[in-house]
Amino acid sequence: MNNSIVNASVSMHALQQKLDMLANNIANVNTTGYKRREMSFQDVLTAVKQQPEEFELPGRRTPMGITEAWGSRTSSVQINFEQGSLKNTEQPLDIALEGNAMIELFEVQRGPDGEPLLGEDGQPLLDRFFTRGGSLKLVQTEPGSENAYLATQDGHLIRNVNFEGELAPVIIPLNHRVVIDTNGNISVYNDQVDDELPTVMGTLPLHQVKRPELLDNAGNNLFRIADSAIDNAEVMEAIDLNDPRTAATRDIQVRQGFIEQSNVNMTEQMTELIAVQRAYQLNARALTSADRLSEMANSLRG
Amino acid sequence: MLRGLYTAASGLTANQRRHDTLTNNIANMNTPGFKQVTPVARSFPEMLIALTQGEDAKSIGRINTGVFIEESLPLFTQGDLIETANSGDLAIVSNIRVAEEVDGELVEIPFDESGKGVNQDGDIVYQPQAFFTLQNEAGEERYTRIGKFMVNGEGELVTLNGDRLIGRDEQPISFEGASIAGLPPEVEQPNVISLDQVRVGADGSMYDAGTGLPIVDAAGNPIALRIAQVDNPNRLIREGSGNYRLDNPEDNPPEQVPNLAQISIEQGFIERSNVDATQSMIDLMAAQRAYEANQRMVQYYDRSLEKAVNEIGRL
Repeated sequence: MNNSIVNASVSMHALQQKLDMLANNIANVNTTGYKRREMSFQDVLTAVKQQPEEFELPGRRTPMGITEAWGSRTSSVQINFEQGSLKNTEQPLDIALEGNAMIELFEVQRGPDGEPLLGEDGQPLLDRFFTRGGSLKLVQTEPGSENAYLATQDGHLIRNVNFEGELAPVIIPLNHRVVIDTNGNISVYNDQVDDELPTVMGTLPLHQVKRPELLDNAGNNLFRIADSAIDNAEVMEAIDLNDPRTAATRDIQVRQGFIEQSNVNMTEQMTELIAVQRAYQLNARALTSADRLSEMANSLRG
Repeated sequence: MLRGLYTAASGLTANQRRHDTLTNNIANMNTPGFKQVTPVARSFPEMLIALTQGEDAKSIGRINTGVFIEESLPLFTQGDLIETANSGDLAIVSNIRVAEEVDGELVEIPFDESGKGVNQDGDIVYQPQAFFTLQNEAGEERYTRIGKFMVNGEGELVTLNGDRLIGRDEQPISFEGASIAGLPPEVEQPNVISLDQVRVGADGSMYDAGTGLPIVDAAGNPIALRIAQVDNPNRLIREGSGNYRLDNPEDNPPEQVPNLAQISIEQGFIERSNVDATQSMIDLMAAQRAYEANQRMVQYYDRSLEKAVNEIGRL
């Protein structure tokens, strides 16, 4: 009795967790750049109840002992990085990545007092995040300045290694037209002055995901490398699409004027929802049945 | 005491255990790679009953005094495949055929749906099953049918529990320092091989997705999965989390499947649980009713004893 009741309730709890995850996926079916979560089940640790030697009778097939199992549980949540479809918005600051790549972003680590934490070389410590793109915006460097930084919607500046070899934000002069080519090079055109050549202001810092299982979700469609990863270079590999060998072997393109939509497939999610619901129902029936057995045992006498 | 009281009580325990096993089957309906377990009941050994009649006890027959669940028998039928399109999901499709020599000719032993067959000598034999070979944290060999794999922080190919997968060279598979063999010089060799780039062939060997060239490990050996063939799958003990173990493996250590044409590894698919939900629900109801019947028997014996205690010999 107790085994059945514990078994069924553990399994229902696992199904509930899966249901929560499916609901989260469905809620994010229209979120730009959302990557769906996946979860599978495993059976819980099994105990082998010993049987005495005399129990062994001819015709027995399995080794001595009866296995007693305790239901099913969920295994870890995995993020599925399948490419989402691209939507044409024609906004010059919308970018989408096609292929296995992410843009690297940095955020200054701040102490509890809000001041930036400094490393050994006196430079601020930076947290690395990765994103699949989205709508970018221009943030003025200082009020009244003619230049702006290129940043994500939540304010992370796009930094890359500039011509002097330093990690610095990409500067865009205001009133210039921004063009980002398929290799991620950011150029600005001054349409007001004729014959002025476009200037390359920088390149999007692209990284290829090598070990997707070691990326954690950091909220706001950002990802970060899990603490359990030993070598960060193994998880995300920096790539330069301007190198012809890289561009030939890896199928990655930067698309300006597009945004990547959520990769949630409603049909799949609904099918799994139905399967989870039916499994929940069956487990509840097993629980009710076990409860009935308990009732019978309790009413054995009077 | 009335002998039948204990018989009925044994019936209660046996049906209880049957109910527990069936509940576990139902609970694992959606667990990939799970193999259904059937509880096998057996009656207690027979006793000879004799009339108590002085010196010449006359035998009047045999009686069993109860039932118990003898074993939980796994059913290794092939589960259906579901497509997930993840590179780390592998499924084994296994239909290993066994042939024996009869009069100089090779004759195949036919197996029934539960994997049982009879050979020419009249012995019962079981269909061998194929499993992925794992090494757990203690370094012991384990087997599983769950094909969900990922690469951990150290570059090793592991299950979702962290058990390492064993390759054909009997060593854990590691992508640390692995490379693609035979790449032309103008093509860039990747620094790190990711699972998306790996194609697993039907025999378990690994190739690069783009070029089809074999992937070799840091030592230069081609990476391939070891698929163990367990000749008698009934001897496997289930440990939970999808792992099976063999006690006394020295008797018949599982080897790499000799005829790789009889199994197939499908990448991007997962083998579903082989639990038949309808049958399990029906058996659950049957177990519950059998429990009820036994409960009634106990109640009747109780009433008979009550009569014996309270009413017989009342003055």
